[in-house]
Amino acid sequence: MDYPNLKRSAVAGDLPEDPLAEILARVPIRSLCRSKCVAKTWRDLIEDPFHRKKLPQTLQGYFLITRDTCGPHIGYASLLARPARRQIDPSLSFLTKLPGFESLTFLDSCNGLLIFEHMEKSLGYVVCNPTTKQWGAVPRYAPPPCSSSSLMYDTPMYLVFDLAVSSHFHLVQFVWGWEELEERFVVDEELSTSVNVYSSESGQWIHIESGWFTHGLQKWHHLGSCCAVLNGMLYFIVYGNYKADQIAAVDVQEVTRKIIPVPIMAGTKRWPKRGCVAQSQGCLHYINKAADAQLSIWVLEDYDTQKWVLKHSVSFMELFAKLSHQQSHRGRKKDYSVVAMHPDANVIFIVQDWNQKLISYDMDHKLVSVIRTLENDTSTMHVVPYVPCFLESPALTNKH
Amino acid sequence: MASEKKVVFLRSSDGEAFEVSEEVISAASVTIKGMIDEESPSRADTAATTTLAIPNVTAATLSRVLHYVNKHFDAAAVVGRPDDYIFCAPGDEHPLARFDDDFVDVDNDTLIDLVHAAEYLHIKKLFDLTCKAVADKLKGRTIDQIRETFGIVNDYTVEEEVEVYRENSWAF
Repeated sequence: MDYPNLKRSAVAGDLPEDPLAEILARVPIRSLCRSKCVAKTWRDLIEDPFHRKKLPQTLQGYFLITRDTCGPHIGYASLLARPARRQIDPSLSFLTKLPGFESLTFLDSCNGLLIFEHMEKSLGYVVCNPTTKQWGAVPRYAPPPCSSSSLMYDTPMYLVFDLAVSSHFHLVQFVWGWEELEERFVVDEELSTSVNVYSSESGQWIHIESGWFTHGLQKWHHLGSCCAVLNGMLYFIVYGNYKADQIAAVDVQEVTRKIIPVPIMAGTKRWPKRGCVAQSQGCLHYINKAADAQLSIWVLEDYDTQKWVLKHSVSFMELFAKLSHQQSHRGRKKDYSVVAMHPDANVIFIVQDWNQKLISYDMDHKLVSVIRTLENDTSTMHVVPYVPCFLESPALTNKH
Repeated sequence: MASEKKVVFLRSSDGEAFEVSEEVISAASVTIKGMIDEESPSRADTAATTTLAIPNVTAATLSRVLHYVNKHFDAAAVVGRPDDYIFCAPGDEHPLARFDDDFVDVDNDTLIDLVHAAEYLHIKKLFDLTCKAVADKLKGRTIDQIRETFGIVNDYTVEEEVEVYRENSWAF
């Protein structure tokens, strides 16, 4: 047998490609991304789809999803300087041949999977992975025929997918109902919520009385990326009485749950608007704006004592002065929306309402960068953070 | 002592031969097990011991590898010679954890030679251990230190380097 001398035969100095990939698979994501700067050979190896299956992945870009008459319109904003090699299909063209594609509406995304809902209700939902080009259909929850007469309102669907916990996904849907009485409202305590949970492993929906009353939780809210999945738990904002945010935490496997109060800025009673939650670096974060547009980012340090720590705070001027000093804000709404937090860094992503620019703000380096200007109307656009998942899922049975 | 125990000799790339129990090395190394299985019909009827050539591994590395293999794969050693093991604290997850830590506490060249040897000999536990040790060394180093450590030439142009740093600035 002929064994080539491995020493210095390598794509990268002393290390041939395979051991190097094995070594890089064992470094944390930040070190991995730093390692791309070592040499082109290292970057190419880290971005090679063959090796990426083994390597940790991070935020790669944003899907920009709107609806028009012929179905969902899907754009993509990449965070990479170069187009990634034969990887994601940015327009999800593998879905367009699906029956009823034109009736799909985007619902949610989580760790590399996206879920759409058919407007034609009998068709249910479609869950897809833009990287592996796999997809699967999920039927709607069908209530038993003898269900109660009270009106049930569907709230948005949450997709929960966390490879660290399971290669299967769950769908979680809270249902809240009230009796429609002559009076405009019934007593809060009578409004109870229930939960429908779908597991891709069993292929079944189960219905659980949540034991949560809508008392203090007037309405379940869900806005774009305003939920977070951390260690298999789902966190999302609920909008309680007296306009105070709360965070609901739900364990989808066991459907246990708790309510976490949000942090409040010193000297104020409440936030003027709803905030958002995000998972970053393994911790739950809460992001919100004060009345003067000062943005603050909090991290939940202790889940048991529910202790929040202010991680960073930045004023409107600091955020936008550099970018907008030449632009007049007169007659324009001076507002912005936080769309996501980087899952592995102290970076937040913001859409400026007045010029539809998607920007990033790096808290550690106090650095603002423009990613791109969004073409469509951002008020109806889903700006969906995308971390690719290279593992083929047993739950998504169709492949393009 | 079991006098029946078969041994094989492994000859390093620089010609040094090392004796090792056939049973132990077969349990450890997929590559050597394959070589032994290939040889066995011809040696069944002779008393001669087998010498296998390991052309990619130097004597220095091979002796380290065999030290590891004898610690990790020799069941007799585990049962019969407990004094060899530093008694582990109750919290230690593996009795050989401290041995492993010391084993990979070596200079970069030695460690990389061990990665190559573990890969070539197909000793999964040793490959995992040494890859993890290299990964740990990567974590705390600057880009320049990584290039120096692994003998890598920076092949980015100035413009490309600015771009890749900008793209990954959040990770620094």
